[in-house]
Amino acid sequence: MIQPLALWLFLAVFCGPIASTAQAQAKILIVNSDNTVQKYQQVKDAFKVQMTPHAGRIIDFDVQQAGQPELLEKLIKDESPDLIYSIGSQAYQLATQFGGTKPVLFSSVINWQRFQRGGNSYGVANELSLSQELSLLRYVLPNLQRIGVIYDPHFSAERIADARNQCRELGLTLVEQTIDEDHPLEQHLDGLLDKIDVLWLIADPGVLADRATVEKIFTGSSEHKKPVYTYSDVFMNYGASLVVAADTPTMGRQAANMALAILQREPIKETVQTPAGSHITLNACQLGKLKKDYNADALDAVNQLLECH
Amino acid sequence: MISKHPGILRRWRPRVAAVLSVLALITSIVTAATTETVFFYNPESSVDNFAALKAEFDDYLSAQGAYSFQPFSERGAFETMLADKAQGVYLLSSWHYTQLNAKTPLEARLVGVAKGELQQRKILSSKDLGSVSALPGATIAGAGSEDYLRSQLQQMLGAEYAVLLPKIKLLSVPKDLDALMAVGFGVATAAISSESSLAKLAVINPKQHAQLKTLASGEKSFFLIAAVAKPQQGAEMPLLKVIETMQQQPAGGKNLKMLGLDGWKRIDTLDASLTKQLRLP
Repeated sequence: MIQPLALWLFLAVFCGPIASTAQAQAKILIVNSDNTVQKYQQVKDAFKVQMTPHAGRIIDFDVQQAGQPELLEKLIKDESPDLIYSIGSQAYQLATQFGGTKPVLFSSVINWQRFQRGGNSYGVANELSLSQELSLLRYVLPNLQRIGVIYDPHFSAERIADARNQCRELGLTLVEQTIDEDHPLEQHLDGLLDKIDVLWLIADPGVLADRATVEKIFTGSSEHKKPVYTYSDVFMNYGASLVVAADTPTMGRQAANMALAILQREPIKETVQTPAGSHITLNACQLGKLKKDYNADALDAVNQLLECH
Repeated sequence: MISKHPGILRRWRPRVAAVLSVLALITSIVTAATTETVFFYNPESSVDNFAALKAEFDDYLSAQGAYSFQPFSERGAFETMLADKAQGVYLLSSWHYTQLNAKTPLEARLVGVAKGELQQRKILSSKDLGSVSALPGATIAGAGSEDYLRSQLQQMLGAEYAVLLPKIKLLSVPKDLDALMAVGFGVATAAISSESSLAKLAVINPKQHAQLKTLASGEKSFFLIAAVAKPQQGAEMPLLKVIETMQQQPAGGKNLKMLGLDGWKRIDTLDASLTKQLRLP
């Protein structure tokens, strides 16, 4: 009869290494929507750096390069990876389509909530938390307390309700302007800009309907000497003063930590994590033109600094 | 071998001479250029702002003389540059300085000043954990390289809790504020940050700050160091002077802010108890 202590010793000596070996031999398939997209490449590189010491093998699949998505189905069947990490919406859709019951991890998926998710789906969202977005606005532009936001209630009512609470907690005033078919932007933009210190441009498809609308918003803001704070560097060309977005390499590292947790069968509290890192672009030139100050002590947190040269 | 074939020697001699001349020229250019270069690497931050730093510092330095700025994102590349005995001024974290000094002798000449302080302390904060003994399985967020974060954590936990280190996951984020906020919204269990960053969080997000408590703290360490390679040739002195006086000009002051500093203090003006920390064998 095996004594309890002997059994414990046996398990400790033999099963411990077996568990760590299983993790070390884990096979990971990375499905990238398009390797030529720099942000996808960055997130993949960061994931690999963090994951390589822990994975047995990492296989790459580029959806664009492969041309035929069915090749992914064959690859999954042949290789039977322990985990699939998908980068971008197309990769995520294909990974869930062909992945079966394998754990699928995603990142760089815009508005991930629009996809149906199974119990084996995990990810890192593409958008920063409202709390972080508004805290960093307050950090970089501390003198601008009244924040104007234009939104279409069909798309952003929930987000704005959340923002209202966050602003209250941060001591900021949110000045809201709804627009829809009956209340077009033209009627309300000037009125809103008169009442605020900074315009917060959110990703609302009802507001950012076309290029002309975006230009109208930026022209109006410039005429009223109001800076625009937004979520993507794309708006720098229009004259945004401050952009705070999710930091891409951090998303890759977060995905790697999640992958490890999944492979080690650790309990996962949040199956979709908020991005932890931020990337800040400050247009000091534009702020100078608008005669607005920024917090110089925040400069060490700024990734890109645009000066008038 | 070649002497047995004088034709070949005659034909190749001018070419060899030309190649050697070009090599000599390159060597002299490189030597001259590096004497006038500020090299920068900081494992205590992961903010990818190298392009901005390069543009702003080059602008500033080139107005002061034939100087340039070379930031590094990779520790290995920075150390290789230093090991090649390139002359110049090195801006590096005090943590890295003490590590490097063991293999590549450097001499610290200036130390960064922020808000009147020469040193900072790193702390470990958490929302849900009551003590460090609850750290196994935790994800700790912090700014900087994984090497740096692990060493800070090791120092904070001490020998008593060193056994916990392999059971902790690290998440490198660009800046302290990101790490602290990651705890706020549950991506990390705890954060490594400077005390001053925690104070910044109190101003910009008082609610999140109120939820955090300090689990452990490290020893005080200097901010960035400006150092030169030993043995010194003295050629770096004009460039060191330019760096030392940056805060006296608005453009220089702004550039220092990009490094998280307000100015510099000369090492030889510091109290002996402080300088002792930087003069390693």
